[in-house]
Amino acid sequence: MPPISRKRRAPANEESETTISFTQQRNQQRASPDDEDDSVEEEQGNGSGSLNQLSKGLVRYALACEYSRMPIKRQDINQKVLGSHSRAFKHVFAAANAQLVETFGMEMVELPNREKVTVRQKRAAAASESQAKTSNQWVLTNALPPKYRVPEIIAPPRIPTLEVESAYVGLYTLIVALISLSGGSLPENKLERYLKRMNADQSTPVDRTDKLLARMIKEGYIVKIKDSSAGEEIVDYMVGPRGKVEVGDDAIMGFVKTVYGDGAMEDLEQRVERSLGIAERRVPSQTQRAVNGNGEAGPSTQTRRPGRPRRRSRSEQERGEESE
Amino acid sequence: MAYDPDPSPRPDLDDTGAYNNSHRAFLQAFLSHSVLTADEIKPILAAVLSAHEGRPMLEGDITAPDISQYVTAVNSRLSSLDLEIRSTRSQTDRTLIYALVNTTSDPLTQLATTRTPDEISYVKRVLDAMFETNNTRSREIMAVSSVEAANLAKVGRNRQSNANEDGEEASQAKNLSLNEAEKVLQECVEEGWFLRSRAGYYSLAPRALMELRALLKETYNEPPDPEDAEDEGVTRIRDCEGCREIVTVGQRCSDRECGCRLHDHCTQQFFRNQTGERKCPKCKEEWTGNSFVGEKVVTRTRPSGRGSGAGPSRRTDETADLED
Ligand SMILES: [Zn+2]
Ligand SMILES: [Zn+2]
Repeated sequence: MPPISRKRRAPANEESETTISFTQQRNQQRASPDDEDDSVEEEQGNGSGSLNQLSKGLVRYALACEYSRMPIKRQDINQKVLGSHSRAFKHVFAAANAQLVETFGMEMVELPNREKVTVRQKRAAAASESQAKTSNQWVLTNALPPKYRVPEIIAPPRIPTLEVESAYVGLYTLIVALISLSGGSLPENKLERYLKRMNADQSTPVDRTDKLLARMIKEGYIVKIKDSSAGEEIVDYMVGPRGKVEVGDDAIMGFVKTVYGDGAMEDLEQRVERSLGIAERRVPSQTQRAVNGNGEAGPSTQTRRPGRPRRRSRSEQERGEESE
Repeated sequence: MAYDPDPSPRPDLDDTGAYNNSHRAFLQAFLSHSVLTADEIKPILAAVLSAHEGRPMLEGDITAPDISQYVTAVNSRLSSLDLEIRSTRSQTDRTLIYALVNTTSDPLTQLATTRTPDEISYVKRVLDAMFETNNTRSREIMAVSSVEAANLAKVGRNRQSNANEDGEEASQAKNLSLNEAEKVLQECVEEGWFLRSRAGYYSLAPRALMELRALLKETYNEPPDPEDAEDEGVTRIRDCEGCREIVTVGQRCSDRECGCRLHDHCTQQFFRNQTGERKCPKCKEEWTGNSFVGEKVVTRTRPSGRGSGAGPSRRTDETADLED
């Protein structure tokens, strides 16, 4: 609920959190831009600027952002949670994430950077030295074992009704799966054909198809790329940052299995893995899938449980060894 | 299997202690559903326990003490975050309802992060209309008709001056368009903050009452001025004489000076053991049962014959004096 205080109450959340009084002035004076890690070191108590209080603020903020599917942005954390303590970011972030995992079984996972796909974007990226290595945006993801991630327990979040929202989850999973299985990029006319085959080219249970795609783009499930460097304009769809984090390879695999049913051919999984490029993504690759700037297999290999090394499944490992 | 659905759990997800993954999953259910009835919790807890114990549990296996035990365990972790799973009963049908609420009087982080200041200011105007304009000594409607809610999209002149009394807020609040206002109301209904009745009246939903219990009283009840012996203060928010929860829908003593309020269901409980004439527990006046709190104040006294077909947009003599 909004602040309805009109009488001598403390000002609204944001103000009160940004005007936290700095309890240890000397930290502020001593800390140089480089030692951003130690400004909260000695403050373990429960004072307003303590690690506990700041971490609590970030946990609450992260929950609120996820509620509305807004990414958790570093800039907003600094402004709305940390205020004058923005130097303590790393400490507070680590503490908040530990608390999110321990209490909620959820963790903040950094969104991958937007891929540079068009010639112009690549040139621009190459030209700018200052290109950030990280996106500085996170989303809250489920860290519990998959057996707990079932619709009987966690319904798709609210808005507008459960049925519509379930349909939305199904549709973005479908489209992200289609793009991934096409090798990471899907021309617009092909997507239109797929949708037409499912009778979803004009409208869906969620919304008109164009509006639906616009929402998926806005929320970062997919990215629309227009490239006219070759003369005529080519429009492609790729998987967006949130799509990579939320719709991982295992979700796509599960989706394909559901579609093919129990009678799926035995090598279905391998075929899907091949389509998803799971094996090839392990090695630095020149393919479009791995253009994440840092030359390593992109964050897409970390789907579902990102933020820590992905445990390779046995057969994946074997296949990897074969190809090496 | 190439596809490993359950890699070994991460070390910080301790699944052996008194607080384990089943509690985390239970809590996640509350993050994804804004409000849950006891009957809705049973299948969820059954699914959580099935996943945790590795053997199927049925909805029927879940008892009320099971639910309380989980709520208590989760709340012990949440209290340091100023969050709590609370329960209350519906004012009208006594359904037991649970929701994850904020326990601080600071505004809901989620609204503060997802709504614009103008939208928050609009919700405040709606609340003021519920608990001040439409909540006078003679008429405790505590609800706002659709027409009134639409009219509040504009920042009224007197509203503005009200807000200026305490300086900071609302003075720069801008009008919302009718569409924007409609959208905010709809979302408040979907998120379990407002109820919309068949006659189109907005009132506070159980979740809002749970979360705002203290805040509403603090905001709308004015304690007597200690300097002025004549001043009795103003009590706009009252508790039920039976269950001690806030009454926004129910019955009141036929004596306007008497502060006794009862929910409809609570009158049955309360008068069950009384023989003969029902008497107000406070002032011993006859309890007629036809002095109402809630939209019935308007809808029950309307010229009969039209039933619910006569919407609130019909400006009867009854509603005319509410809208100054
Ligand atoms: Zn009651
Ligand atoms: Zn009385």
